[in-house]
Amino acid sequence: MIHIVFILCALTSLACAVLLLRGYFRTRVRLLLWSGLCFVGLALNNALLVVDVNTPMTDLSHWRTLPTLAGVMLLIYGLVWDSRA
Amino acid sequence: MTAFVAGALTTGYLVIALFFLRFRRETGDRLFAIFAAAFALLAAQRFALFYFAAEAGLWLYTLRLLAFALILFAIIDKNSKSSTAS
Amino acid sequence: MTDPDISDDARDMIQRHLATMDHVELLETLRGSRDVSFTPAELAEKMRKPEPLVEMCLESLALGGLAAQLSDGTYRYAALEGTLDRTAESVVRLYNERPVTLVRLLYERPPTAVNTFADAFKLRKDP
Repeated sequence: MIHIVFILCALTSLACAVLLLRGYFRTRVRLLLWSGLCFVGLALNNALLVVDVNTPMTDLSHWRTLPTLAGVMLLIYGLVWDSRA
Repeated sequence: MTAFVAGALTTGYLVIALFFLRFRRETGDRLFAIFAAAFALLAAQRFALFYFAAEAGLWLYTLRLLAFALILFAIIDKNSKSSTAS
Repeated sequence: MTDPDISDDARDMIQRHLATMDHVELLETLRGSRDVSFTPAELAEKMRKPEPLVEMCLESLALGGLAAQLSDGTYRYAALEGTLDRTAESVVRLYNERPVTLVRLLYERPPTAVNTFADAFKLRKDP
């Protein structure tokens, strides 16, 4: 059951990433690049979560937060510098 | 280190939520209100995850599911609106 | 479509701080009584607009340095002199003398980054 939750989260963030990056390549508005990359990070995090619960032997908890952290940083950078274009 | 990362992420999500709130005021687009709510939930989830320790159970992840469900809803909402708009 | 009569400063002011006709009307109202400060409610009554709308416009004008909130919560015109005032004057003149041109400028604004963000989530591309 919990797997479905994670997979759903991963798919949603992946969808956001695809839409935002598609928007970026269409319009070249950099805010979309940063937010797209943020959702790539969130998607990666959710995907790693799925792997982590499926493999009890390994603990990915540190690796998992890395893409999230990077994604959040990127989005904040974009919001601060590129939301007033 | 874990505390630092948890704090950074909680703050980060909150900052993002505040930006979306401002965008909502500027544009009046409901999408931003829903995104703000989603990121506020992610902040709450990250905070709770740290505060109550990971053992508190996977139920905390329902918060995360709710956040992503909100984002999904925002996308659907955006598209149902644009199909009826002039 | 460039109009030589409209300065780049005026264009910039419209694009950044005057999102709607209501914003321009508020600017005209405040600038018209530049020595007087008003509460949002007074402005709403003067302009015959709902107060929340006036408050929203006031915030945008304040961000652009065109209005300032005083310590008693009232608002007044803030670009009292200099280039900003001259630009505001030209925008107000546009509003009074060539409203159609102004409306066109308001509608022609290029989408902001924030708008593109929202539009990215539209699955079908608008014609």
